[in-house]
Amino acid sequence: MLSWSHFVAEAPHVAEVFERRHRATKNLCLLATLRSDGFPRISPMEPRIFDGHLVMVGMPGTTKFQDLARDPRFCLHTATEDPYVGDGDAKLWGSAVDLEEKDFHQRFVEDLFAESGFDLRGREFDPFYVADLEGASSIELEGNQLKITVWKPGQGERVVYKS
Amino acid sequence: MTEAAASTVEDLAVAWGEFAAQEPELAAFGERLLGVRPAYLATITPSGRPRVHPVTPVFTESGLYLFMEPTSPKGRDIDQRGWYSLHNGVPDNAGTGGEFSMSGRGRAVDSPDVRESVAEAARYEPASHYVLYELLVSEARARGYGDTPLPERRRWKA
Repeated sequence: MLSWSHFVAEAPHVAEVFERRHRATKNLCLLATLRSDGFPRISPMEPRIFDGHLVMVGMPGTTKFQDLARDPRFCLHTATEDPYVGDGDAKLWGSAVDLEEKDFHQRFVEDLFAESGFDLRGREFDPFYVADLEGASSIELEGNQLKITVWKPGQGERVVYKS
Repeated sequence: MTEAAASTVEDLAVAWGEFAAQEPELAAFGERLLGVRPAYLATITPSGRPRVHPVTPVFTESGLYLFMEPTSPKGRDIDQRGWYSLHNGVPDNAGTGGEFSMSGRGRAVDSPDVRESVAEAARYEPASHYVLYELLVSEARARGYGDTPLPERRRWKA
């Protein structure tokens, strides 16, 4: 699995843009999954970065998690506030993986409670999804040009400018 | 998506104007939410993976359109597979202000007359090299969590 920490090591710039936008919108992102009929579905999600993983947390049993249980492939986009992407934007894609490490779950909910007051301590998680990343890109405005940074596993980051 | 399902979508999807004529309250709700902040378009990549992009929809009396760069992956996805989903931009994960989503089939638009009318309706000036797509609607849905009035009929299918 290519976890968040591996991604940061391989794609520091795209990771920095994602983290900046993720923080700026209080973790809000838009998740694309696949419905059972093959259509894509978009759902708001607030993933959290914790201990080397991007944790895809949310209300159990909702349609986005049903989609991921059937087909784990996803695309996650930071929430865009400026149509001219003045502060940049990033997207990640990969598959959701059920991390069956009970100790990790409990450390995660302790951290969540300490940071937000949202109390899931003692709760069992099945599944507990984290991201296995297979690609990412960021977009930023530099002068009159768009700077697009693309990452693929094992290939580092590649920058393309568009006028 | 199976070929049969895809052709059903193709047969049933209608222009935004036709949807709005059938469900004016739901369409008005959607048009308002899709214009508040950047919306999101999901398409399907050649490998079958979902892909999501921020977009700025443009409404005319008859249709719902997107301008894109000619090299845009979302345009290629629509050219090759057609189906899409569109969701309004949201301020948080709590559903504040309501949510509107729709699905259907997209298609490239070549008509200079249509392009001119869409460019006039846009809140920005589309670059001359942009290509134009129309989003046909096969289903639409409104959701809310108590802070915003919802249309009486919250779900529509062609």
